[in-house]
Amino acid sequence: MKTITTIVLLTVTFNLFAQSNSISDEKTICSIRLTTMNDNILKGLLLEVKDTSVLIYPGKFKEWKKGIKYKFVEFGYSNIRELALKRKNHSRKKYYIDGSRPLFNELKKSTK
Amino acid sequence: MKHVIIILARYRPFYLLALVFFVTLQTMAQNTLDNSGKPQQRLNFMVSPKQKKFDQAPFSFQLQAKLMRKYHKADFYVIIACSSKDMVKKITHILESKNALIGNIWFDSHGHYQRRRSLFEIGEEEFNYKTIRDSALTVHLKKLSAYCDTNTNVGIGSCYGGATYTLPAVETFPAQRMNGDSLMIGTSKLFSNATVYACESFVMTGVGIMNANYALAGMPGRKKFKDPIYAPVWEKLGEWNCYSGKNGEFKKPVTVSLHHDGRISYKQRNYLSFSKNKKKLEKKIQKFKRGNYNLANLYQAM
Repeated sequence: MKTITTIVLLTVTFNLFAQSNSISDEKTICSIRLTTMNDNILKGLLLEVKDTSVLIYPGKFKEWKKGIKYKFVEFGYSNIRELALKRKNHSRKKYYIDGSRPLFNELKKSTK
Repeated sequence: MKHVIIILARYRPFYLLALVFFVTLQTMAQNTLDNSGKPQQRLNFMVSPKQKKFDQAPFSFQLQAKLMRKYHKADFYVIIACSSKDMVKKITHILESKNALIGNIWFDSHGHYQRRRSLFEIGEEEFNYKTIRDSALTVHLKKLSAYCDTNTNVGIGSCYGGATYTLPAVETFPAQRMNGDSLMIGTSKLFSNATVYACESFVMTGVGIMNANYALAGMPGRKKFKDPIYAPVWEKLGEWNCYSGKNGEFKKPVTVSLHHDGRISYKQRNYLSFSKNKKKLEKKIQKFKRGNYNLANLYQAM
């Protein structure tokens, strides 16, 4: 009886850990909607905010989770008109860049 | 024999002409006869990919083709294959058992605009203007050449399969030619100089694709297609190309259609020559908006 209880307890704990990990992952990763200077749109996941560019995974969160490997896309601020960031359970935030360097600190803060 | 020909040419030129005509007819007849003296049967094939996930387009195509197969069991076959090896195995088995040749073969496939080249797929194998020349990748398809001749018709049923235009540059992607004509020439060579049909624009799989009407031509409704990136495709709506391996010439066969028994033919009028379709297209082009197409698709295909 003791063994069964221990196994059940362990399984429940592992499950909870696994769930909490996936939720945190989903919550930390930002989805991005980038409008280029030519008004084309790129949707993906924001991986990194750099001094002169942003690094994007050109796929959906489901694909990211599955481990589908796409080549990361680096977009310089000079080629970006607008950025819209969205995190799970948060409202969408828009940054109007128009080819100039964005409010770097604010952008970095929103991705953390 | 030489003396006979000289005498005939000098005194009876009409008899010589008649003799030449008779010999030509005889050789033409021999070409269509098999070893047993019977005219060799020609079979029609529709090749469609085996689906792992549900996909509406091939599902609709397979359903309609299988329904038509019920009424044309003798000469029409639907092949659902996961690779070119699997397809060739199934087709050769049928052809061997019937001692027949391929009359028409249609490759139902998706086109991938994001890859920026004309292509068709059999299962997960892609055939484009480069891979169609690669003997290692076409080793299985080559086996079908024994059952093809210049009277065989090959249909590339993927969107932009015969596209000859140059795609405009988008962001970091340079302008690129689709090279559908090279794909058609390569396919023709692979199938013993057969006649190859391929589309410049979208190939639809709506209801009635095998009713010998304009069902293969049409306008897709999804939002992503209503972007200026797709402009060259919309301009060539319902246009097809035909490459005759026999003459080595390209023709514009107007709009291609499929018959109940899998025969490939073409209509007398172009799809866009109907004022109704032209007006509909103009309306759609006016509604084009930049940003309807997600650039991530282009980056995914890299």
